[in-house]
Amino acid sequence: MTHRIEMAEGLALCMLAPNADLRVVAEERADVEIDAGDAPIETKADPAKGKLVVKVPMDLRGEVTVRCPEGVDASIASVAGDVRLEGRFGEVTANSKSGSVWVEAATRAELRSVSGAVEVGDCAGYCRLATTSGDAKAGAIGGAVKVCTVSGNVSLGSAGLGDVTVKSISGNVSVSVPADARPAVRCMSLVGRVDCALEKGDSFSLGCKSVSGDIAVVAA
Amino acid sequence: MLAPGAAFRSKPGTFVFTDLVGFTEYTAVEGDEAALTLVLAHESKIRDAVGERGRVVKSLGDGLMLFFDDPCDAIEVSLGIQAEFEGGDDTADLPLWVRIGIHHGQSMVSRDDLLGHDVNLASRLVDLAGPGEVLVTEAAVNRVNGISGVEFEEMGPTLMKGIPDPVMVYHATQAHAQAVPA
Repeated sequence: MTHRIEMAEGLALCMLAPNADLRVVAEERADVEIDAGDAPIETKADPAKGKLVVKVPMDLRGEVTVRCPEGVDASIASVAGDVRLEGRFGEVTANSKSGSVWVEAATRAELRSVSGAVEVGDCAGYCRLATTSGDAKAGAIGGAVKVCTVSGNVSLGSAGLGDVTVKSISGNVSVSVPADARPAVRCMSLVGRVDCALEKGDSFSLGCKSVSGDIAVVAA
Repeated sequence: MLAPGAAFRSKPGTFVFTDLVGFTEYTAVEGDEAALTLVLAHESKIRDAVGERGRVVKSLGDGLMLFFDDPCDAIEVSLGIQAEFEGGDDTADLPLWVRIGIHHGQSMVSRDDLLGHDVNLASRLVDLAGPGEVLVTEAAVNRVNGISGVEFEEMGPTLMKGIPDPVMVYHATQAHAQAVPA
């Protein structure tokens, strides 16, 4: 069964999907369409909080596909499901305990998982990624970025337009910056290898710390 | 242990869980003695920061459970702990990162311990935090209107295992000092 919901302009999409795998597609349209099979979906527009809240039942473990307007802000909460956001979104917050989180493009992104991987392909502004054991990856970041992980590996592509801060316990860290960037670099690992061949300057701050992970800062 | 049917005492307050991140990895790299020194240093710094504003309920091995009557104290002390662990010197105290979860609600008193749903929620919250982060639930944020020197940034709703309802969570950070015009 497909649910169609009118979405007033300016509302953000808030999805609560504990165990379902969630696929959210941003495309040219004005409403929201939800395909969750026969599962009962609860929806509630909350203009006071600026949100359209969609609740997926706890016992639904299949895939739920949501189609929403392009550029919409989205906040997604999951426990065990994977979260996949396709297309261009506004500000995105997404978190899961064991599921992975993948976002194609956002103006701002905060992605978090305990054991799953988190990844944003293109983030125009501020980006924050946090995991415990999952990998953290960002393809192209136009703003500042903060990443923290325990054992996950980190791979970032910074445009050099904002500060880069990475904390890792045992995960390896790889950061690429434009070849002409001259960041103030502060990288250290207690027992890992640190490799940074960039010319240093003060155009932005690039700080990576790890206990046992290797750190590599490379020119793109 | 209390006898069945014994009256429990309810106590409202703010529950804080701290976790020393990467303790297992640090132990593997540096050995047991260094790891024990690290844990003791971690506990000592936190106990100093808590002082008389709250109390250490119990040690959890590589973390602590704290209790505060006033959520403002809980948040200010937690940010103070992070500032202390971050340090001004980049080369100092590298492995001493903590993550912190804060929630306000009710608990049941059992001798020196505190138990209950809200305590469990605070405990779950710290699992979501990354090294150096202080995460605070909406229930705590709503009780600290006007707290100065602290910024809250919405992290969005979260679903936690065993907690039926979504919980709105915020990052707490020290507010940046405003530049004074010359």
